[in-house]
Amino acid sequence: MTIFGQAAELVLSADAELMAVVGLSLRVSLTATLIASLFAIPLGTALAIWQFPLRQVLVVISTSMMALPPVVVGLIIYLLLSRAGPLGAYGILFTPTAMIMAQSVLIFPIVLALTREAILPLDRDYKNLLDAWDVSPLQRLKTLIWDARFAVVTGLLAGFGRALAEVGAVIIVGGNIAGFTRVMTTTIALETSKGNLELALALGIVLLSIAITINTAIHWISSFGRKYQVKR
Amino acid sequence: MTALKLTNVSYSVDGAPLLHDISFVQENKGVNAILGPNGAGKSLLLSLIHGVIKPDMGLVTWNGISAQRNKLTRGYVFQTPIVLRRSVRANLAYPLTLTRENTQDQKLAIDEMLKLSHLAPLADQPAASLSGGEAQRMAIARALITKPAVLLLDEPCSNLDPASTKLIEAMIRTFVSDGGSVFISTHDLAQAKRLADVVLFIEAGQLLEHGPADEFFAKPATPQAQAYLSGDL
Repeated sequence: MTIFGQAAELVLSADAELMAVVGLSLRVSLTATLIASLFAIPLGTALAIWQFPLRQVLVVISTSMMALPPVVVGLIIYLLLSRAGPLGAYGILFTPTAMIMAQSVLIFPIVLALTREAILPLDRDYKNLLDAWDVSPLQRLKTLIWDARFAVVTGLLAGFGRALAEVGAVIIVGGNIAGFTRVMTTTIALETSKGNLELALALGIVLLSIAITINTAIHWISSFGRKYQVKR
Repeated sequence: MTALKLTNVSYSVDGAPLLHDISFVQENKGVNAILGPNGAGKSLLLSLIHGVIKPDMGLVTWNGISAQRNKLTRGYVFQTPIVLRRSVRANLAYPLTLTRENTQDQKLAIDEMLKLSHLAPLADQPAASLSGGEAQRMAIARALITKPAVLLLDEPCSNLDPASTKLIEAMIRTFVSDGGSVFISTHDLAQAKRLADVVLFIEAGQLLEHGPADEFFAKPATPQAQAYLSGDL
């Protein structure tokens, strides 16, 4: 049987080792996306609609964070969590929690920037109407996030995709420990170097399938959202 | 009965006076048409009356209370309808969430407004799919759903066909017959004649005439109003 055949068999038979790796990947990346979104969506909206001191500085910093190399993020989180670091006492280095932290930092600027991009034009459209009703700042924030929900969700999916495909940060802070912190990307890197190509390829197939699913969802949600946008 | 009172109201942008020393008192009843040529300051006056912008000088009050407050007691409709990215029904529901109406009352109010605006068959469509006339009817229904005492309309029928205009005028008449009062800016003289009880005529940022519509159209007092009605301004 060829390597491709063996890889396909691993996927189709839902091989236990493969499923464990896929499961951990999804758990880590979904949690990181959720945590990053809790902060990035309100902050991205606030940066789009409110004028306050240092707003432009925050915009520049958050945009610059999108270009952060994952290995640098991994290194910073490593230094924070290592025994000599300020959070060393918690003992979470080389655990899924550390991986979630690293991925959250990587996703945060992406979700923030995409939320801000989605809210900016909507706020321009709505401003006069919401002013005419004297809508409170909190209600305005909720209204804009809800009405930009399709664009915001596509931003979340983009962040999730980025987290799932990331390897540099999670390998540093997770340590790639078999059965504990080994996710799809780090397993592919390791198994390829060991010459165990069928498992690497099987994980590649799963990763690619998830990426295609995410992009299909982004496309579908965007199309659906456009039905609610006024044509100009 | 609430009354609108403007006291020495002026507004300028970058030093250029757009409205100058406007004072009047208007009892809250019937249809009050704000007339004037393009650029006279009609929309600006409506914005000041609603309190969405603050005058540089002077005071705008409704029954003695600043126009900046209690905006939900008035409905405001823009020349180009602003559509929330929701269904027609959810657009109508939105102001009720601001006034915290309970769910049952919301449903009744929405059904009433869908009927008034003839939009019931389109209730669950995205509001963005409405035509210009339908969107404006929805905007008026959305402004009326909180049962305001006053409706402020900024050229609501510009660019609309006669059928849409007729439906909108019917909505305005229903609101007035139920005891509401309307301030409408328009440059459609035929519409002003059909609807208005009182006319406020402004030109170059100054209020030149304020009185019964019949008198204004029959015998305008100022040369500017005469020129405006004869199409020379």
